[in-house]
Order: sequence, then structure tokens, then C-alpha cells
Amino acid sequence: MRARYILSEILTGLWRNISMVISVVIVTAVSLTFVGTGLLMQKQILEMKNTLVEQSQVTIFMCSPHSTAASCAGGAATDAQIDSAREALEGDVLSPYIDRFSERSQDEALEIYQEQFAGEGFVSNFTAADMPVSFHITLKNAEDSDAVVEFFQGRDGVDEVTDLLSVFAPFIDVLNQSTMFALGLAVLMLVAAALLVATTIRMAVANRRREIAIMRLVGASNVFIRAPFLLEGAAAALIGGVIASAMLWVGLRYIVEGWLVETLGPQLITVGTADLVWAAPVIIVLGAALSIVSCVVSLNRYLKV
Amino acid sequence: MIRFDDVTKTYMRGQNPAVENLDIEFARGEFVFLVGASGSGKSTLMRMVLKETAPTSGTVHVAGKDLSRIPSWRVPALRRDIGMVFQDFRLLPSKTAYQNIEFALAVIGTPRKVVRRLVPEMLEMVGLEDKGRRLPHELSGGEQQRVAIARAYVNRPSILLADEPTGNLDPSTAEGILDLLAEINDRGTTVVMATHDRTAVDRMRRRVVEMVAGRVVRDDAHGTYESVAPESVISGNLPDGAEDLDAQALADPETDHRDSTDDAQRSPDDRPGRQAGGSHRVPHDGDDLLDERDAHLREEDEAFAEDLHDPESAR
Repeated sequence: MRARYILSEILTGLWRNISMVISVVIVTAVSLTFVGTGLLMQKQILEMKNTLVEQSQVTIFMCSPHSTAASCAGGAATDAQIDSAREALEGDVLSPYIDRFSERSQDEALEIYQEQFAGEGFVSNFTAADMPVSFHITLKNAEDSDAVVEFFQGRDGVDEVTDLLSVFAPFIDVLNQSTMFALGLAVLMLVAAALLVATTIRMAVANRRREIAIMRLVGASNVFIRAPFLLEGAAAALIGGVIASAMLWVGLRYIVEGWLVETLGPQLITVGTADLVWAAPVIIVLGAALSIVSCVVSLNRYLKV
Repeated sequence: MIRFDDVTKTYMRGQNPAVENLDIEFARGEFVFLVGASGSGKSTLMRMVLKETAPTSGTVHVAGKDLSRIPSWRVPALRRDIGMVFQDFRLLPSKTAYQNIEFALAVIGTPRKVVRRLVPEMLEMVGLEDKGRRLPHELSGGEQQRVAIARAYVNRPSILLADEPTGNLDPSTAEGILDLLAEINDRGTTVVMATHDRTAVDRMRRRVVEMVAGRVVRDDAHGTYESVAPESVISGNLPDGAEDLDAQALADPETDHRDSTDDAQRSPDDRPGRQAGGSHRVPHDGDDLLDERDAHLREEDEAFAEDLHDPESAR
């Protein structure tokens, strides 16, 4: 009975203060959406880096008959040039950087080429001799790609050295900065949310000061007097968290899964609606905790028992 | 039941005390009238009994317990044993008479079964058994005060404090309220009533304690509102505020507080008047006992004051 009585008192309180409660819910929802976005972006960045590290990050293409680079003036790479590249990769100079590497022969390259462009008429025009020999290198530390790239770049018989990580670096950069931006906004919004909760509590205390005075007078316990306010704040934050989760779901479903994944490919974009399984509880708990802390602080300030 | 030992209460450092060197005891089952001009310390005395405020020095015992030794989390338990009634009733305007009484029980966790038994019982005791479903604004002032008394008494407290309970009521209604308080007193509850109601005091002929500027100047076992005591301000023997003028002259260094404990046994005539010492214009007119500590709510109080008379807007 007492639980139901308290509950009905809380609902009355929420209803009386409905406009403030709605604003708390909205501000909390928006700020938690930013928090969630930041979290998901960070996860995406980490996983993208991992994926790039797992794949061979640096690829050395030896000259093919069709290469136009200056270092390929002598036509296709000779066996001696290929051997010297292989020896260099196995040698002491580069061993601190290189974890492992694999060599792709002309025949293998043709196979992959044919597979990639299967059905296209021009595929049959090429033979193994048209394909470049390539080395696929996995670095010990993805950040050290420069040393390897510089070592091979411009050597005779080396057509091109590509560094996957540096190709994606701008993208990761953008993501990183967006995360910072999102988290910065989130912090601002969370401050606003906390202040708004404090104001709301103050209003609620003022609205109910007669009840509070009577409760104190007849000897209701401090917990009993404060609980409705705490529960009110927590309820508003929970609703805000749920709305934030819903907004994140919409974003993940239609922007990430519906557009980014299709554009950039599923290997690279790994976040999706499945991530809400952990992200939603995190932001809901965060919102509730923040709101309760804010409630406790403002109750201590505005409600003396 | 209630004992003050050399209690002084100064609200702000450097200001004159609201209550000074108070030594008094109210015995179990007593009915005490507390009289004195506004600001004489009556309400401060009541606030200290409720532990709404702590004395600056001295000790207050309520029901055998030293209030300064009660931890704050035990204060609610103390207050459950004390009922309080106000001049302005302080009913919740959005709740019916029944719900107002129910509220006092529900917020201390009384089971519903008990509430269903106690509330009608209380309504019957105060003579409002057929008006339980009315909202406060649908009740007369006297009826509202009856509801307030029912709310204060529903927990069967051993002490009932009444701060000018008849101050807003016409004389005949006030008489009914007084009878109700007397009935509660007959059931064993100690009643302390601060009042300016001359008729009430004179009719009841109970113990009368007069305070002037934070001190007890008169304590008659079967007193009347006015008295011959030379310091009695309300009797016109000393002009109100006179203690300001010749405070120094009147200040009595030994501030005698003789045996206030057996005051009740004395006859009014052998009770010597006391020196009203010190200069005290007490800054507090203690009519709002509860809101004192909620100073930050004062502004809102004014803004919301209309709500009290307009229950519709208070929902």
C-alpha cells in the first residue's frame, strides 16, 4: 500500500511539473545521444584500425610491363630485382618493422584479377606476364609504415608502394575529431541537463513544500521525503536514456547500416544496431546516475529535513 | 515530559537571544497555556521541542531524551510522538479532510488496514464523520482546525503543541477547539498551547506561563490571561518593548531561575514575579514554525500564498 501511495504521489508530482520534466527528458535524451554517438565512433575507430592492422598494411607492387613509373623504365621487374626486394624484406635492416610478409606471384595475381573482374570482356586479354609480382607485408607496428614505404619507394623495379593505413588516415582523423566534437557537445549538454535537473528539483520542492512541511512535522523519514524526488529525477533520466537509445538505433539503422556500410563495405564499418546491446545500457545507466547525483546535490541544497 | 535546562537560543550571532536562560518543565498530562506578546519566544520554545532548531546553549529533554543527543536520522521518530497544530491550519488544499489525515499516517508507513480504521475514528472524535470527503475550502475555519487537530493526534502523540490554534477563529468556534484540546489532554496527552486568546485561558484555569523577551516572567498553576505580575506585558503592567529602553537597568546578572519544576504546584499568589532582564527584541515572530528554515522558499511562499485559498490552482 505504501509503495502504491508513494507511487501515486510521484505521478502527481511528475504531472504537476510536467513541462520541466519534459525539458529534462529532452535535454537528457539529446546529451545521451551524443554520448552514445561518441562511444560508437570510438568503437568504430578502434575496430577499423584493428582490421587495417590485420590486413597487410603495406603492399609493394613490382613493375609490370604496363607500369609507367620512372623506376620501371626498364620494363617488367627482373628476377634479380624481385630477389633483391625479397632479400631486403628478410634482411636485418627491416626486420625490426616487419612481422611477416607474403609474395604474390604473377599467376596468383592473374587469378585474383580474373576473379575481381569476372565476366568482363577485357579479362581474357591479359596473361600472367601482364601482372605484377607483389609483396604483402604485415608490420609489427602499424605506425612504422613510413620506414618500409621509404625503403622501397623509387627503387629500380618497384612500381608502387601502398600503405593502407595512410590511405585511411584522413578518414580515421575525421572520425576521431567527430568523436571529440560529439563528446564535447555531450559534456556541455550533460552540464545543462544536470543544472536543469537541479532547477526542476527546486521547482518540485517549492511546489510540494506544504506536503514536505507536513511530512517533516508528522515524522516521515528523510528517505521517505527525498525518495519521490530522486525517483522522479531517475525516471526522467531513464526516459531520456530510452529516447536516446531509440535515436541511436534510427541513426545506426538508416545512416550507418543503410548508407555507410553500402558505400564503404561491411569489413570497414563494423558498428551497427547490434552494438546497442551494450551502448544502450551504458547511456541509460550514465543518465540515471548523473540525474541521481544532481538530485542528491540539489536536494541537499533546497530541501532541509 | 518536556524539560528545558538553562536554554538560550540566539538565532544570529550578536543578536539578542530569542529565548534566554529558560528553565521550565512541563509534566506528563499537563495542559499549559503559553502567553506573551509576539516575539516573546513562544514559538522558538516549540521549535526546540520539535528539534526544528537547536538551542545555542543548555539542554532540552523531551520524553526523557536529551534532544542534542538524538542523531538527525532519529528526529523523525521524535516528531512522531509530537503533534503540532497551527493558527493557519496548514491543510493540504488539494486533499480532502480524510486524505489530509490519511497523509500523515501514510508518509510514516502506516499499513492501509490501520489507516482505514484510524482515520474515521479521528474524524468522529473531532465531530466531522460526515465531512471526510470535503476539501479544506469547503470547510469552515473551525472545521479545518478540527481536521488539523485530527491529523496531529492520529498517531496518538504524547505531546501536542498548538501555536495559536484559535487565532483565526471566532470566539464560539474557538471554544469548541479548546474543548477538543481539553479532551485530548484528558486522554493523557500533554498539551502546550501558545495563545493570545484571553477567554480561553480564563475559562480553562490551567497552568499559564507568560514569556517576555525570551524569559518566563510568570508561571501560575491555575492562572488567568492577565495577572498582577509586574513584568507581565500582556497585562499592561509593563509596556511592550519597554525592556528595550532600560535593558541595562533591568539586566539581572544572576538571572534567577528558581525551581521552575515545581511551579505547577504553587498557587498563583505565592509565585514571585521575575526580573525581565536583557534587551531583546526577538527578530522572529514565530508564527511560521515550519517555514523558518526554508528561508529560500519565502519568495515562493508569497507567490504561492494564493494557492492556499485557491485549491484548484494548487493541483
